Amino acid sequence: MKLTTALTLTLAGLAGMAHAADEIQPETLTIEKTIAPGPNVLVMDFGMVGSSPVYVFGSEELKLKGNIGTGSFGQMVLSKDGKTLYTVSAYLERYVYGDIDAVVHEWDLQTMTAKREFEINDKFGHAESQPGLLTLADDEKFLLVQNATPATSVTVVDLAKGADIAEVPTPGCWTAIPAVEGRRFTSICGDGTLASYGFEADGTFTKPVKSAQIFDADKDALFANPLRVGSKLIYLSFGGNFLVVDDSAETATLEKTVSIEGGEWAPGGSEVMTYHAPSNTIFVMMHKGAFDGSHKNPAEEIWAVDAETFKVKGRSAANGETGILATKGDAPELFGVTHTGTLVKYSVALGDEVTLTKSAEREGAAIFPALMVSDF
Amino acid sequence: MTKFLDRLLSGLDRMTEAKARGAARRHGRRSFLARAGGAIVGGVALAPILPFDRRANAAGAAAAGDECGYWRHCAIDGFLCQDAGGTLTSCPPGSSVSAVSWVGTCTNPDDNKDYLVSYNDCCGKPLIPMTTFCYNSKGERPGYRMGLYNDVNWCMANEAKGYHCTVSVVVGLAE
Repeated sequence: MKLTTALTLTLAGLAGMAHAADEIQPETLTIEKTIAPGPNVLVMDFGMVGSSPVYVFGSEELKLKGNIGTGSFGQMVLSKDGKTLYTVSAYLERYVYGDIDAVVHEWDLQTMTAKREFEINDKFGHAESQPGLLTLADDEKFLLVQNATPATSVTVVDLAKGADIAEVPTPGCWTAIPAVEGRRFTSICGDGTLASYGFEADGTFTKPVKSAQIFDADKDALFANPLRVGSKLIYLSFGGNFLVVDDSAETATLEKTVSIEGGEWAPGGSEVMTYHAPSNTIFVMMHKGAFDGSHKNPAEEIWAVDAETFKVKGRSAANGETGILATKGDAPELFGVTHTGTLVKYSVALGDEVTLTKSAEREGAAIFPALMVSDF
Repeated sequence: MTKFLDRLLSGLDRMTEAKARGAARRHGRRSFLARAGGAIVGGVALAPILPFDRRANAAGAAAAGDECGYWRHCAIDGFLCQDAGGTLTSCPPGSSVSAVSWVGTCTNPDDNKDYLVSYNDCCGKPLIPMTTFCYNSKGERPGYRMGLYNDVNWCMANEAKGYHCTVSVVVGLAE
């Protein structure tokens, strides 16, 4: 084809395109103002380099509604009304080196935008996201942030002031589990005790009050993150023992220890258990053939346990989950994230026997799913 | 871009497969947690070059293609530096050694002795998702036993806090 012929054809084509443009209404580029309506499950993807994004999935079809971008090593906690997500994360000046900004974000879940952000001290622990490392205390007036340098302490953040007001040393202890009422939290310690700490709005805090030894970290260690069951805390050991703790007084006390009686089955995973209050049921991820080091094994079954009698009310097949979450309503759903990044949804049949049935799944929900919360 | 994504996803697949393999592995070794209860500070400064290092290196992994099954990785959680320009006991060039580390107690099958292994992270560069990821937790404990805890960035005490990869350095006998 001669050059002149090709040029003629090209010009003719462009003229045709312009003519076509005259006949259509140009589209308008917009931004969705809010996420699609309906209940949501949030999955934090732990980021070792760059963001720890929080993916927001609609609970019905597990459709991705959007994400929230935090810094690295993120932790998150959702307000009780499900409207505000708090995160703490690190921003490294040069991504993998340089000065760190530790930032608290207050996100509006519906618009997925930051309502507020402020810096706190940069000691917060760069640990895999888990419930006890960022908590809301005293009717959500304060945020408690677990530090690790590796020396452990807890930063108290006054949300009204938008600033950290205290750093409470918690040597040898981990997590900050808020009391049901008041400015107090409990931490689990390597010497087998629970330590309780009080703090005030002026930034002062009390000396730790230690419980008696309630477990042996060498012989039968406890998973660090307990369940809040009414006025009690329930811890679970690697060997399958539930420890019921009363943390309502200044000194935490062990009320009873009850075995799940799993035989060759043992609990395992990161968020190893979840609690459904209306049915008073604890769900536990279990694996067969436990050994020293299997306490993070993916789930082979999920067991439903009565939180009063601790009798097993049902055993259901699992799908390799490393974290589970029960929703709050009378008719719960159970969500799991697997070690391969799949989000799994189960319907739950309550009653004398509790059974789970997989009802949906979404592969590739996250690369390193580390923590889930739901707003329903 | 597609090629890059394919490589990334392939690496992540290996990572999660390795995680599953590691989780499914059976060790059945004795525990010496009480002796390994504290974090090692300045791990490299404390790490002697022991005779069995050479033997261990020569022995290679427990089974061909199962790098994570190598005995001294019994409590590792990380990407192997030996796949990223370093070795079992050295960080890749241009990175820095974590100032603190966690400790495992692993049995060398050649002499059936238990050794303390310092798992140091190498810091200040991006992690490489295409390298082998190992996740073993023999004797591992939550953050209340910080020196045994492997779900935390051990570059936390460095000036360069970015996680790059992990080495397994034998630092002594456990008994």
